[in-house]
Amino acid sequence: MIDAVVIVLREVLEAMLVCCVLLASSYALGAKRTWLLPVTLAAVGGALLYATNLATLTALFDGRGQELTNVLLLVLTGASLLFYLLQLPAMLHNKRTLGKKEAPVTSTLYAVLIIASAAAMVRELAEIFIYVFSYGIASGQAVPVVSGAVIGAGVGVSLGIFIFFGLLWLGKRRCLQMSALLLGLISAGMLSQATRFLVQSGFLPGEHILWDSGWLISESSLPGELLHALLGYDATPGIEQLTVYVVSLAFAMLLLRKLMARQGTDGDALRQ
Amino acid sequence: MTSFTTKSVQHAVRRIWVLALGYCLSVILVVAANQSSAADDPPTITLRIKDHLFVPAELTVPANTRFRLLIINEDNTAEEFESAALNREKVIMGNSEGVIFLGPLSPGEYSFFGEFNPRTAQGRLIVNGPQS
Amino acid sequence: MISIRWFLTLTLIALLVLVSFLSSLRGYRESMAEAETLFDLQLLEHVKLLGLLNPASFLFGNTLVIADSVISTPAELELSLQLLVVYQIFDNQEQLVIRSENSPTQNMAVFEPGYHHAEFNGYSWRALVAQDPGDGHWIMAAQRNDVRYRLAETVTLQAVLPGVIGVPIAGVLIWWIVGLGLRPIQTLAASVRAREEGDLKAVELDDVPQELTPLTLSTNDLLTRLAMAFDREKRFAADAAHELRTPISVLKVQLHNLLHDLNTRQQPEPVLQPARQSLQEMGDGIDRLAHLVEQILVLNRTAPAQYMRQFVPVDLLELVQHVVSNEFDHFLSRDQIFSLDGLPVTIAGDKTALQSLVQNLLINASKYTPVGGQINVAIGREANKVLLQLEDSGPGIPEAQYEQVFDRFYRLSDEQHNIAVSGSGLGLAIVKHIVAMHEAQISLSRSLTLGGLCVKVLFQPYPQGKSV
Repeated sequence: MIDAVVIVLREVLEAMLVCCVLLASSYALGAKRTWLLPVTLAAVGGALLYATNLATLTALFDGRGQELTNVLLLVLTGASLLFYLLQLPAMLHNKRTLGKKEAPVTSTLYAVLIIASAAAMVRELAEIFIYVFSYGIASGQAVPVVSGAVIGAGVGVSLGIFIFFGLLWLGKRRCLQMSALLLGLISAGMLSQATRFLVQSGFLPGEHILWDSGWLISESSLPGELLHALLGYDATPGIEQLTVYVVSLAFAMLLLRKLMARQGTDGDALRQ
Repeated sequence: MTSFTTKSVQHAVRRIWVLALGYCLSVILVVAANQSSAADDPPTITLRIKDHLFVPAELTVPANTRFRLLIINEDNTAEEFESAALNREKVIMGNSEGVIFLGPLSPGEYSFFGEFNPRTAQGRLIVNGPQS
Repeated sequence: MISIRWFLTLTLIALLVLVSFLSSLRGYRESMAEAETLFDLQLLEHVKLLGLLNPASFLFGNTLVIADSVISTPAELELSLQLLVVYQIFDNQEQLVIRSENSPTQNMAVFEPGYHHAEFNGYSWRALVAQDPGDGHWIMAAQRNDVRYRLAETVTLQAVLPGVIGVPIAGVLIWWIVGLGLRPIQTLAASVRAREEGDLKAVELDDVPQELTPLTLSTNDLLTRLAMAFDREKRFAADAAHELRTPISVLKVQLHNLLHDLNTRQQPEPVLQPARQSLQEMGDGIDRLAHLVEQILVLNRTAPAQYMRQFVPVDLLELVQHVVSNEFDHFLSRDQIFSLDGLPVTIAGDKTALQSLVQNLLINASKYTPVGGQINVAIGREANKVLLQLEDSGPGIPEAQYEQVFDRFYRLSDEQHNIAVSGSGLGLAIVKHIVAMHEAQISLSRSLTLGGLCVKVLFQPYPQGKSV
């Protein structure tokens, strides 16, 4: 049971982090909740598709299909998160010019929200499905695996709820800044993970492992899991991974600076 | 209600694709640059999963060599090969196989485990130094 | 802002889940550790028992057979085989003396006293190794790790499961209870919302919970001030209009006298003409002023918020005929063709107000229809309702302004609507009040037959069974 808790909690935490931060950020912008239903449908449908066809998928591209799919999903999430950050300053501008009553969120932004969170959830949900159905129930351990999964999912979703309300509690201005910072970190982590999958599938050489900080924070410990979900922490990163991480993080921080500058000029638009 | 106009959605999707393509392009460039060294097919080492255990539980490989690890799952249930030290994770469905590229590694011991059976499915990869 | 109900429900459930699941996990770990100790003790007991036996006394072979009579079902046998402690006994030369059926022929664990992890027969095992201090023979006993784990988990899960099942139930209850707790807010909001227009009485304070009392008090305070303000405004307009009547009549009389005086003067016509002209225009102005004051009075009297309803059955056709005969001069003076058709229909309403409504609509139609134009009035039934329809051949009203024309003092101003046409700008506002008072509906459209404005008023029919 404890393994089920750990596995499911880890996956749920990663998915919830992206979704809750995006949700809080979109709330601070004044977006409607209409995008939640398409996200849920797309994520569950995509995850089922992914999980049921994983064996076929793995065999594709000379046994590299699984990694390539993961890379696609991760890059899609990371890129749409960065695009979301890119859009934020314009949204604030709209908010000022359109007045407070109008929701400044365009359908472009809704599409980005849907793509980012659905792509982030598919992989994690699929792993949970595989664990619960292809492992737990198939090996006749339904009760411990399912109850462990319920506990893990419960704890993960609860933490997500607290992250969401915690961000909202900061007030709209700080909430936008904080969530933008978190989204930047998350997207850098996603892109670096995508790079790791490319190394794993032999597309990138992966010759230099830069350091091993596993003795300090093990990746399988709870702090390690949290840092992995939040910052894309990796105890033994390769040089390619680090490069991608640093570049995308720098890009995200640039966008964040732009956002803060915009908030400075459009300060009153969000002060209330 | 904001309407989801196809135009703006297309616009968003295009921008995301531009970012994603940028990433992929740079990857392809790096891959192409490394193509010469990766051209020769690396040797394959096989690891089996049977009754939620790794067989053999200890693998030995030479240092500073690139190789493919072929993992064959002979159980009916799925398993996930995971190693923090090797920085790899891959789900292997029941009665199927998967490939992972590893190395070149410096000498030492790298542990790996089956994430779905972390207590029993444990193994080690021993990388022998250049002197042996 | 996110709703209080969602906030409370989500955070409370999240808190409950975290506390109960984390404590379940803690309990789970403790129980598993406890069970682990128990199994270790069991191994130790086995080793002790084996130590009591003298290895030399085993004469009946090197396996131990369990009596079949003890085990009844195959499932139990399976469990017993799994649970079975395997053992080996070696002499002090580390030579195997005896072993249980399913133990390997090699030593299971290293020759070193204590608990060890061992792997054989395709399983991982927990092995206990002990050495007899007397003759130095070794005793090894082992249990399968996975079996120990599964057994411990089966027991422990019984303690964890109720919590896992209970939390969703608690979640539903929390949702319901939070809704229950927030009901006074909804009740308060509903009681404020459900008020009749113009009902500005204070909100009842009986059932209001402590937290909402300040809000209710300030709402009541606001309502009182609003009621006073309304009252002042109403009285002011009515009083002012009423007070204006007297000076206007005085003005009229004086004007009449002045004209009379002018006509009796013995002066040449060219001298008198400009003065007479001015007085005529002055008279028109005073007439308009008088009309405006009357209209303001009607408007205030018919405001739905203050009108005391005293409805009687009214024959709409008869009423329209009456109004038309009063105003027929209008149509004659502008040379307009007027037609009225319909059957007698009865509606419930206030006679004076309805007359005012028909009068305003007719005069409007006549005013904006060019000389020689046509006005049709029809009375009929439409889908259970009584329909009064006026059509004219005037320029009509642009569709965008259909809403605004009902506003007080709104005047259409474009090339088609002569700005010189006199009017108070209150006519349609009065019509709107009277329509609202009778719970009727008014709609404007373009007349299909005459091309001008088409006004449709749909009245509630007079209730059947009460017909006169």
